[in-house]
Amino acid sequence: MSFAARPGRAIFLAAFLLLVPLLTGCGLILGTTVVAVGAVGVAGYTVYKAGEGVVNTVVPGDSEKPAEKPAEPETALAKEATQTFPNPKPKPSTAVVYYHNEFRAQLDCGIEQAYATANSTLPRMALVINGHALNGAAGEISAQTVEDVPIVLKMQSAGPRSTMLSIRVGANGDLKYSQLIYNLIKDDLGRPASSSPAAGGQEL
Amino acid sequence: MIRAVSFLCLGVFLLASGCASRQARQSVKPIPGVTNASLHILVDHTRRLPRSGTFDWGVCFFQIPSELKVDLAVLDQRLHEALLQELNKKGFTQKKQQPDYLVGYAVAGGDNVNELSLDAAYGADLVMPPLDPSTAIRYQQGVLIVDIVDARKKRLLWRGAITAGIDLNVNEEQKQRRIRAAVAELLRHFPKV
Repeated sequence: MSFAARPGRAIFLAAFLLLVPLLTGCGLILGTTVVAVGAVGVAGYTVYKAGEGVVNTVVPGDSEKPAEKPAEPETALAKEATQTFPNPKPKPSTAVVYYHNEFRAQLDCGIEQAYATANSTLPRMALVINGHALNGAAGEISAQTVEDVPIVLKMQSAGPRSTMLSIRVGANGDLKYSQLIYNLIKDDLGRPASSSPAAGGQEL
Repeated sequence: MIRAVSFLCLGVFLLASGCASRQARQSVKPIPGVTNASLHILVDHTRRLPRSGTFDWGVCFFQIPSELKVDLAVLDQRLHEALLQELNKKGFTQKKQQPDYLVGYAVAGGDNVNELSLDAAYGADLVMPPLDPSTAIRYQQGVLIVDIVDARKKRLLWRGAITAGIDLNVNEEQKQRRIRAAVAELLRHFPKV
């Protein structure tokens, strides 16, 4: 029986044929996104964002907001930083890493200056220095509190004006006290404390 | 003929509704004290994501302007409490000795936060996805990132990032609630996306 004789079946077939490329199109899109993941260099990983899948940029995901409205550049964080800094362009924030009970952050000075400053800062905090050594690009200071809690500061040169400082307080670490030591050393370096979060302040 | 057209309409409808539901699942739930929130999730698709297991804390990373005078210890405590609560709900328990996974986080603000700098902070002992510098994500607002890392192989399995504008003029209780909501929203997509 020919399709001419059964027009309903012919239309059904046409409808089916129309759906096939539509479905295949979705498959192609899926394939394209997988390629895109490879193209952004995240081998073995898939990236998702709110709203739709597999892109490498971050966009507002709240669908209730107008899509064309850009993300506000003046967020609460950015706004406050701009207001506080006298310079129009604020300095980048220092990264602080806390891992395995050890506090790590950078100081914007050479290792000799960092070492000398730390040696003068610790006694001002009523810490007793038990030993210290500076050997070229690396330095270490051992101290203790009046309660005999051991404190170890290690310094590693990261450039002529950059030193990586690590602080360990006791065996289990103390983020708050480590932050305090770091901030006081930064203050003593005679630079504006532009990047160190001060202990005892507000929290996010 | 009517039947054929009906089939066609039904097919198109099902296709369209399927796409719509997928879109809705990926939306960001409202978080108090947060504006313009968006999610970004990186998943290691070469292995099955864990559904349960033990974990301990991994790297804690802060990049916050000093002017905000943030007490990192309090922020750290709040984040750990929120993460512990959500992970316990999902069947993960904290174990200090030989955990299956390390759960790390990064908190950053301003416009200088780059995915590459975050990766660099983890140090050489963790296997991170090889990002192309030209395509690395530059977070433009406040960001909270949670990482799930295979503790034995030191490989990143899952990374969830939530970026948003943050209202600082809220009280302590609201801050705690905000962190819990943000962590819950992020981990809603773990282990499934």
